Amino acid sequence: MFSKYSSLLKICTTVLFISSISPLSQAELVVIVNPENTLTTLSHASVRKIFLRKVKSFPDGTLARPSELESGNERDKFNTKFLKKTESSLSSYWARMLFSGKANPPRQFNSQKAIKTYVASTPDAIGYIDSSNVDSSIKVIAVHK
Amino acid sequence: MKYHKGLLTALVLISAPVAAVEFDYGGYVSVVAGGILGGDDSGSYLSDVLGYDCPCFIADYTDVGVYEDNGVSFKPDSAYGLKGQAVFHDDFSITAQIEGKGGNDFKPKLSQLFARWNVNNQLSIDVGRKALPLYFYSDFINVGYAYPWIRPTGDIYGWPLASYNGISMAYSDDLGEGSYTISAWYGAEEDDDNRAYNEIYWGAERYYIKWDNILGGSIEYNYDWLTLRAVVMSNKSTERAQWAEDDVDDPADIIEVVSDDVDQKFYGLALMIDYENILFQTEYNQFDADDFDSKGYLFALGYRYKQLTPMISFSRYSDNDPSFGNDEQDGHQVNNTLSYSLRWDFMRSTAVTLQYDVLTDDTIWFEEGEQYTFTGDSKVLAMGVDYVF
Repeated sequence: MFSKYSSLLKICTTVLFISSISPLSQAELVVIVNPENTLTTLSHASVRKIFLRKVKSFPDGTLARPSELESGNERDKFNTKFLKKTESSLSSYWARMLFSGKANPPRQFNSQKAIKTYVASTPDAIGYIDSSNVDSSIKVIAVHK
Repeated sequence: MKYHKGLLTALVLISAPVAAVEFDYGGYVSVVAGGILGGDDSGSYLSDVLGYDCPCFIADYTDVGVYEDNGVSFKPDSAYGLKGQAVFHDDFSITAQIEGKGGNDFKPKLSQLFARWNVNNQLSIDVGRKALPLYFYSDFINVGYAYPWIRPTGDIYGWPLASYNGISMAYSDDLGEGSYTISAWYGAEEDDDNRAYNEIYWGAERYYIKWDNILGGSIEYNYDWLTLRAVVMSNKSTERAQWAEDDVDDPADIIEVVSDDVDQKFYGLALMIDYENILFQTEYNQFDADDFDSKGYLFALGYRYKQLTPMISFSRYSDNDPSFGNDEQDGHQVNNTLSYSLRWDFMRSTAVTLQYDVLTDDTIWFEEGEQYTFTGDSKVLAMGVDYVF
């Protein structure tokens, strides 16, 4: 009898646990690369440097082509969590880089689907999407909950 | 901001293979209105010798944007720029930028035209015309949207030449959690009618400047919230003043040689902190020539609160200049500027900035037996809209 209740408790706990983590996992922002990319993980610092074009390459020296969303919650979240910049300070930063001739902003896309298609078809590409859109056409190398 | 893809990936067929060319363009506009609120022009060189309506305030030395005591003016701080770029594959690009400033009646000037070869993922080499990267903001000095003020302080950013023709390289790579860029440049610049020196300092018919053998290098380190920059540069400087009675066409024939192949050396340091919502910036530079030397520095502290960025800044310029001295002593231009600014990023790619500057002029100059200050003390209020596209 005890074990029956124990099993029931386990099931309830598991259900509670799953229901509690699934909204969180849906809200995860993931940084993606082409499956051909040999890297398996990328630090937040490296993601930041690549997307701000402080460096032109991945840590292994191969070219990186960053891509970003034009607007939306995911863009705001990526800017805050990975780049640590507000939209206006990022915009000001790119004005500096662009008009000094140092670097151009990442290529922009209007949907996560478009970023995924670009990353899936471009070996050097790197982008970000919500984890709910992850499939085998791309590879996740950094996560921010 | 978005860099516009004009004709995205035009395909240029040169028999085979196929070369992909991508065209991009962008630009900026700053519309700024300002005026003098007060000051003291007694014994001011600009007022008494050059005829400006002072109290006055030099907003833009390079293109002679001067607020005078005659109402609201849009000219001294307003500017526009257009930039275009053609990228051939990833390895080669050509960039051109024209800029126009109110101080120069908005006449378009070519400030950049260079070809870039990306040798590899770390090293790039540029050949052509570029901004002379003396200071932290030199590369984008006219782009109001790129900084939290109406203008970077003239106490530092006040030199007569802003571009050069030559060759440069930049090498960037990771350094631990941060990254670094090492740059070097070599080139020359010549202006046979330099308005900055002429209309602000000399009042001659024409003033000729040549900087050649320009050799400079900088290193910039960036870590998350921290940016550090150090720069050194040396060059040879030649200056000639043509007076109204001199009847010459070629600058080489100008009679009064102010300096001839003089060695100049420049050193600069900059620190920029952008931590949480706190902004702190400091910049120091020093300029040494045979008989002239100057120092300039800036401290600025700001706080980003939602779309608002209030800042308080202090800057100082001082020099030793025998050309404005007398038999007993050198002349000294000494300016202190205290600035209060508020930037409002009210929509994407557009900002409004309000700035109040208090300039204290402690200059001591001698000219034909008389002692002068430079501009005299002044207080100026300016408000502008900066837009990038």
